Amino acid sequence: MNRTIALLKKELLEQWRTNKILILVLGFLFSGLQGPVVTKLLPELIKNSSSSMQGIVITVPEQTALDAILSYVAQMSVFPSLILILVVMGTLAGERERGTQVFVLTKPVTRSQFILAKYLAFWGIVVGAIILTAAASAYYTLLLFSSSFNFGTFLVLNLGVISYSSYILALVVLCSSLFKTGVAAGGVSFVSFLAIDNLVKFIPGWTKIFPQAIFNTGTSRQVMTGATGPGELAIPVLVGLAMAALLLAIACITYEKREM
Amino acid sequence: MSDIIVCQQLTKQYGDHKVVDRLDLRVPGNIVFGFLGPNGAGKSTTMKLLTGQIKPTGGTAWVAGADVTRNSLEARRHIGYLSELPNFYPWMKGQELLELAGELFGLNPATRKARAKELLDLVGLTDAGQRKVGGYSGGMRQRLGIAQALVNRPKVVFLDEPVSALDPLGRRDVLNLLGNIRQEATVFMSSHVLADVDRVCDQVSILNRGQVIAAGTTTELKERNAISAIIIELDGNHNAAGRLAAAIQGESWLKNATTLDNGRLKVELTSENYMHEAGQRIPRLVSELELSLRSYQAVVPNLEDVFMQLLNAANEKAESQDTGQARVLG
Repeated sequence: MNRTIALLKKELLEQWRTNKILILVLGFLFSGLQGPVVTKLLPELIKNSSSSMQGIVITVPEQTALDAILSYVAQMSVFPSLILILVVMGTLAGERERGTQVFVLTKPVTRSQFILAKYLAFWGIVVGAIILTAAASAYYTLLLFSSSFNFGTFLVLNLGVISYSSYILALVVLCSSLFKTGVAAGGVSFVSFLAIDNLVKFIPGWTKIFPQAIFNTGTSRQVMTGATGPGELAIPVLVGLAMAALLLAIACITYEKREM
Repeated sequence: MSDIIVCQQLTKQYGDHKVVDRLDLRVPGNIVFGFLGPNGAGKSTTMKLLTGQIKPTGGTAWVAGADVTRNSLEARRHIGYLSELPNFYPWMKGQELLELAGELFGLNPATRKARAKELLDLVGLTDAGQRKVGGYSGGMRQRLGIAQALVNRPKVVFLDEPVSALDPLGRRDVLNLLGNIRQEATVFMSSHVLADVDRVCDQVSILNRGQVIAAGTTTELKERNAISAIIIELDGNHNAAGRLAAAIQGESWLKNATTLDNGRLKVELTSENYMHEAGQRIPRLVSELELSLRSYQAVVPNLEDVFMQLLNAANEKAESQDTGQARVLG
């Protein structure tokens, strides 16, 4: 346990000194804040562009805090995942490429501890970034819109975002453990991410089970408006966390068998 | 078990290629052990097997009493390791890296801080301890690598080419350091600089094609593989060595006579037993040819001579075996 904590501290220091914490936090903030800001500016933007098109009148219903929150949740899917892939893809593959892992793995440390420390460090950073982004988005939503929204269900939706990000993070860590270079790991992570996301959409019923359900505007609107209870998201949240645990376990097992 | 490292039939195979081939090795405690061999002989792979970085295809190995092939975690508590091309986290400071190593070995904060300072001092990096490793030269990284390998006061230190990136002064310091370490640990080192091995190692094993072809103390190896030869230096023009070489051609004890630079002649004998006979005959021939003898010296083999001799013999044997097998198959 002490060794895992030592490695965890090393990982956090590394992500801080190599500016990866900053990149992740700014990337998540940039994505999330687009929700309230773009929702606020959207009617104005459409009004301006339609005025230049003679004979065409586009009517946009008045945007509310609920729309801003739903837009925030939608924004937390693709772009943050891409940033996560880019930042994390070299976490194991890069160490193998540079030979720095030899320093750690010739000490009395298991490879699973090595992977777990890396995952937990990034998970902590991602959760921190999501909390910060959610708080900033909620603040701007309240600032920009006169209406309010249900904080309790907003928190539940953010649990979903955390669950989804946990799964994406585990997917990238697994790919990084399987490939010799960060670029290869990133490429395969990206393709897997797209493939799984699309697969879930194509198979009937899966959209309600998998963590991608969080980003389904219909589902999140129903939860936010109280049409369905927050329990609706329990299964996707738990499935997301289970997928993360499964992918991480596969990463640990395969990495234990890999040759340095 | 008095030996600190024991390998029994240790084998590592990639496809059809056996990198380490049924290796049997015993290394006693508190010595500096030299592991020699040409590139591709299997030295680094053996070190990786003995430090638990890779698993063997067959055989067993014990390091400090722990079966490293089955429970490398236990063995790794007692070892230190420096790879051939050490690379450390460039964003970390030297002192931080050593403290992290200490923490991974379970040292408490005060102990690991003190140990890090002590080791930085020992390898001459006190002033660079607060600098980031990314700014270190190759030699500094190698010194830091040696320091991190000693953090846990290991029973065995594995050093893969520990002086390859060092300048002559650094090399001297590190070799002295290795000599001192043997008081508390066994040093298992590989090196291509045979003069260094000759100077610092108590025992050596020469590896070729994954198998040990010779082992023993450096003195034993030199005695066992002594070259029966004499170097003769003559005054006069360059033809003098050639004339003497021609004059001894008919001698029964002569194996080979080679003229060297500066009028010197190397005379190889068919056996060490003829050293006395040649010693009487050659000065007489020098006198008969009216040449002037400047020096007459029996060749004292160094480790490099022994290494080359053993390696050539092993390669010739392997090639003849390969040819034999090819004939049988053909």
